Amino acid sequence: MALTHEFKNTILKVENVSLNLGGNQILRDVNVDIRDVVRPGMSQGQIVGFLGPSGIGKTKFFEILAGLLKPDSGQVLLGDPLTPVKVGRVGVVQQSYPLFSHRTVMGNLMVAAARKGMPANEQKAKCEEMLAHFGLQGHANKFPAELSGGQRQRVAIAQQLLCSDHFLLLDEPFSGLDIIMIEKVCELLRSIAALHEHNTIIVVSHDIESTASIADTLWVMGRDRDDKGEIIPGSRIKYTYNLIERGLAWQENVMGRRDFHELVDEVRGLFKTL
Amino acid sequence: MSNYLQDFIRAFKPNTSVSKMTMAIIIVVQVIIAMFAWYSSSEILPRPPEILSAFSRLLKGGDLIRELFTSMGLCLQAMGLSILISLALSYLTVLPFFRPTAFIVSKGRFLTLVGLSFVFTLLTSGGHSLKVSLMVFGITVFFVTSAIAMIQAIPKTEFNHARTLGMSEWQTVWEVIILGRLHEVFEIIRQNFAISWMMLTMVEGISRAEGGVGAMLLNQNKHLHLDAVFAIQILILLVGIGMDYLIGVIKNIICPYASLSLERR
Ligand SMILES: Nc1ncnc2c1ncn2[C@@H]1O[C@H](COP(=O)(O)OP(=O)(O)OP(=O)(O)O)[C@@H](O)[C@H]1O
Ligand SMILES: [Mg+2]
Repeated sequence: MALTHEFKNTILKVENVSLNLGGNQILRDVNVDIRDVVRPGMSQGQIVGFLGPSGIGKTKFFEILAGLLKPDSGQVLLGDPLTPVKVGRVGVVQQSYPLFSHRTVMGNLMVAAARKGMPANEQKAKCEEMLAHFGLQGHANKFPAELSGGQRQRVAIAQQLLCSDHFLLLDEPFSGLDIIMIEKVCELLRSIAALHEHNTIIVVSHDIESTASIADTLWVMGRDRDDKGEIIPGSRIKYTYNLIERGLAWQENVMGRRDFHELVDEVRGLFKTL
Repeated sequence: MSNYLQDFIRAFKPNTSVSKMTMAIIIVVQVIIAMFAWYSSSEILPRPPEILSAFSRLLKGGDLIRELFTSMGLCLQAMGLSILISLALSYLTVLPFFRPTAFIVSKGRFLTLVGLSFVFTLLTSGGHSLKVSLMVFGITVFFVTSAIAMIQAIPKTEFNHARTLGMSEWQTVWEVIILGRLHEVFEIIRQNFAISWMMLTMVEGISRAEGGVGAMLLNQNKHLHLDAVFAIQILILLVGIGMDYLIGVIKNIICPYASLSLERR
């Protein structure tokens, strides 16, 4: 029961990205092509998941996507029209949710809003809107050291949304959160994706179930093995899952469905071979 | 009563804290032990009443307060200059061009003041400027060392975070290094104030024309007025502790976030 949809222009393209660190090949010829998914009569962005076991190079790939790390070869292009990625253009929520600890929650948001070059009175209003949207109203004057892990993450996401256009990258957004919080984050990410047709959320994670529950495309990273079964260094994209075609994208309560769990088990099985 | 006992036992458990009352009792006990040790020590050491009378003698006849202000002025001037020079030089290490200079300056802490005082006497017109330049040199070499270490200890994710918000490299320097580490600068100032306070008496001994508590101390020492020497020492100690506390208070006002994640607030 594939939903009516259409893949339009490419909005993110990774071309032959390779990376070596300390003499080890981490990434080898990674190629990705993310397209704008259009649903008739609906304005909705896309959520893409990159999965892979721990240590496979997800965070490094994430840093390359964010423009924080330059690959040894290849390039990342994004937007419409496609242009090489530059740090600061995409929203980036790193694994540790860094914030400016010398600024309050409001201060952290204001710095980000100021980057966008909007008028001062508009900045304040926009930040307050963000606080409300993320359920952080009561925490505006707290310092990051006074927040819980989940609150901290939401401030980090809000901060990035204020100063980036349409692209939001998250590294392990589900780690360290309990089940209820994971559901809330999933809901939040869905709502952000739904805000604009071009909004694109890229989640890099080893949490198969949570990522699959919100993504419309999954990319699984892994390494190849030679004839003897030895691992060949350097990860690449090994499998792609189109969840829209499987009827698993944009579904309420997808986690209760049998075919969803079959998919999760399938990917989990793959992980052992990567 | 058993509550107190429990609280007192807690004082011997790691990473705990005790009530204010218990802490007060512990302090009183320790002061009593110190006093006992003092009184039972060598006869040569002056006892508190002698020191107190020497202190009032110095206050009346010896212009102790005026000398203290002279010393304080010198110290603050040297401290101010050192902070400006050291911070400028340390922050500039974000530019590779300034790294060698900063590196050499920080290694200057292995030089001794005794040898340097001769060079500085030749370079300056002596007197006040000699004292200030000796102190600035003495403080800067330590200050720069700590400040460079502080900058180098900032994790990469903090820089990357600023960059992901679209900040330029100079804005990143301002946000992450200068604003983001202001609380640590206060700590460095605190440590270096102690160094400068210690150097002060030494420097005032090298050039005694302007006086100051250091010159006074040496003078009393020459005449073997041990009670006066002790009185001046205790005053120096108390003023030093007071200034240290003051810097801490200023830090907490300007950087209220700094102590939030500490265990012992
Ligand atoms: N500076 C470095 N020098 C050499 N190797 C490195 C360096 N940094 C990371 N690596 C290696 O690169 C590989 C990928 O690291 P990365 O942090 O991207 O893993 P990951 O897939 O994000 O893992 P996790 O899910 O645990 O976060 C690891 O095997 C790691 O040992
Ligand atoms: Mg990682």
